[in-house]
Amino acid sequence: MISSLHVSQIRNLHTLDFNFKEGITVFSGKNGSGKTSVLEILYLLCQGYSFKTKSLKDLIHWKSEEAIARIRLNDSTRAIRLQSNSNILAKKGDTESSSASFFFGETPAVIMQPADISLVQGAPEERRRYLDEILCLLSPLNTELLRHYRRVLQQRNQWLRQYRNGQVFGGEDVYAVLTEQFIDLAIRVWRLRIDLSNQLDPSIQKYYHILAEGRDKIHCTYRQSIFKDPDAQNLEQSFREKLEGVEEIERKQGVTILGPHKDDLVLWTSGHEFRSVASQGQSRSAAIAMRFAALDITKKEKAPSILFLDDIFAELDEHRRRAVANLIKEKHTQVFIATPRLEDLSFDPDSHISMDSSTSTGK
Amino acid sequence: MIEPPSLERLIIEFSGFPGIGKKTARRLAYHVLSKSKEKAVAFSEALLDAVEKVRPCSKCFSYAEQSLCDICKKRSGASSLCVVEKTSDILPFESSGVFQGLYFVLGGVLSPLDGVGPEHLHIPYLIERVQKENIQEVILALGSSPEAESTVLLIDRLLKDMPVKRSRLARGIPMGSDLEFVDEMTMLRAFEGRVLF
Repeated sequence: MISSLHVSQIRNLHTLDFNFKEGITVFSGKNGSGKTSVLEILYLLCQGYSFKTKSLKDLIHWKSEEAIARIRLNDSTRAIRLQSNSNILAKKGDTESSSASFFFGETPAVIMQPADISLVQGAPEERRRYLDEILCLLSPLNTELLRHYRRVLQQRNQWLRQYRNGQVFGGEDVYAVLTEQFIDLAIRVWRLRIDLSNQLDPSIQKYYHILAEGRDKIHCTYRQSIFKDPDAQNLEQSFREKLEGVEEIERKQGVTILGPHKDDLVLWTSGHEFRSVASQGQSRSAAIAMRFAALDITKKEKAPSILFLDDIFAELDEHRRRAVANLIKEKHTQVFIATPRLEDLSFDPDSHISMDSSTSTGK
Repeated sequence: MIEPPSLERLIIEFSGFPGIGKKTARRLAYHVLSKSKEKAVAFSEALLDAVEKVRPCSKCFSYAEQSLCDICKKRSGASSLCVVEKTSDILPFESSGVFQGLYFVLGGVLSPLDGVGPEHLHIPYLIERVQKENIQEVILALGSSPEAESTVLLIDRLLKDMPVKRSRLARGIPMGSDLEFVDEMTMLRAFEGRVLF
């Protein structure tokens, strides 16, 4: 549990201190009052990255050279110092690192935000990232595997690109080795992702059912770009054959055209792909269901996840608001919510912090 | 700048070394100037001497002053060959005394993205050595990056049909370390590679 936060020069916040209690904490305030920034910095100190930006420099107040944030998490302290020359100092107790990813793993955090609708309506890449993020939270071995997969894919693509341009880099043996390595890693990535999708499916179904008042149903399956019906036993053999079948095309195009980097986690509703038939409201519910499912899985394996909800209530109808409120209460985990108006929530939080007036002076 | 150009140049040169930032480079440069001129001359002579005399060993590509390094000379009859990425990787083997065989320094790992191919790593020469000399075992002592793995697989593939034992180093918990302080990744690796009594 996070019991306190100190921020200095983070986005539009100057110097602020907060104390938190267990349960649900709500930050309310006008646009630009800094409530999302508070969520962002708390999330960063749990997960090691921001849900808003890739460049952590963006978090430094525009008039300042340096930003600092510190939390009390369970019985230890975590802190980060960001500098405008891109230097980062991350601290967990007495140990230090120059990268924020140092925080990743021990305290899983799940964020729900309006942009999550792209989880459902966006490109397959969004859903692959959703799966991979959960896998990384489950074990550092998964993180390493995914990193190796991406790297070997890049190396193989580079070889194919050079081949297309008329060079046989290092000879055909190099191609053979990269292909072997690629197959081995691809099979391992598939096993993880398929297994995870199977675990997520009942949870996603359950949460969607609650949010949609049982009016319609969804379920999800992992779609391998290369197989209609994956045969888990002979995955390696059949993938090898498929790759051999496209070898000529790959060499001509200079890129790897088959593998986990082409897959999708498909949501279905009564025989149709959900993405092409769902309304905005339905898509939002499905995205929320996916996030709750992620929360359950990461909680099962690790310390309780901390849940962050950034401004998602305004877009939900009365029933869905109540359903989300009930679900987060049931989770018995620490929850941080940012909302413009407290009235948009259909419940009383355990604590409420008004962010109006906090940006210019501090409180 | 308050520093004269020649001092500034020295600082720039020092900051080109790995792990040396601007501040440390300045400290080193000031240190050089604070000592006697003889010491600085000795230092620069040592530098030049090393650059002029040291060259790659013609057999293992480690550092040598003659055409062969000391290890290749002394252990010319040894039958195991340990393949490492860089010369400094030989040191832990030698200081522990665990290995009495020969070495082969690749000088990098396979990476099409960085333009490093088998020929840059002297791999054709490694294969030739194994074919011609009485090598019984090749020990692949490379790191755990994907590129190191590609290199291991490539060498393994090229040696597959030769009558030579191929092995690689185990990974796991460092000696003398308390299990409590072993990081997650090392523990997982050590657990995966556990051995039966």
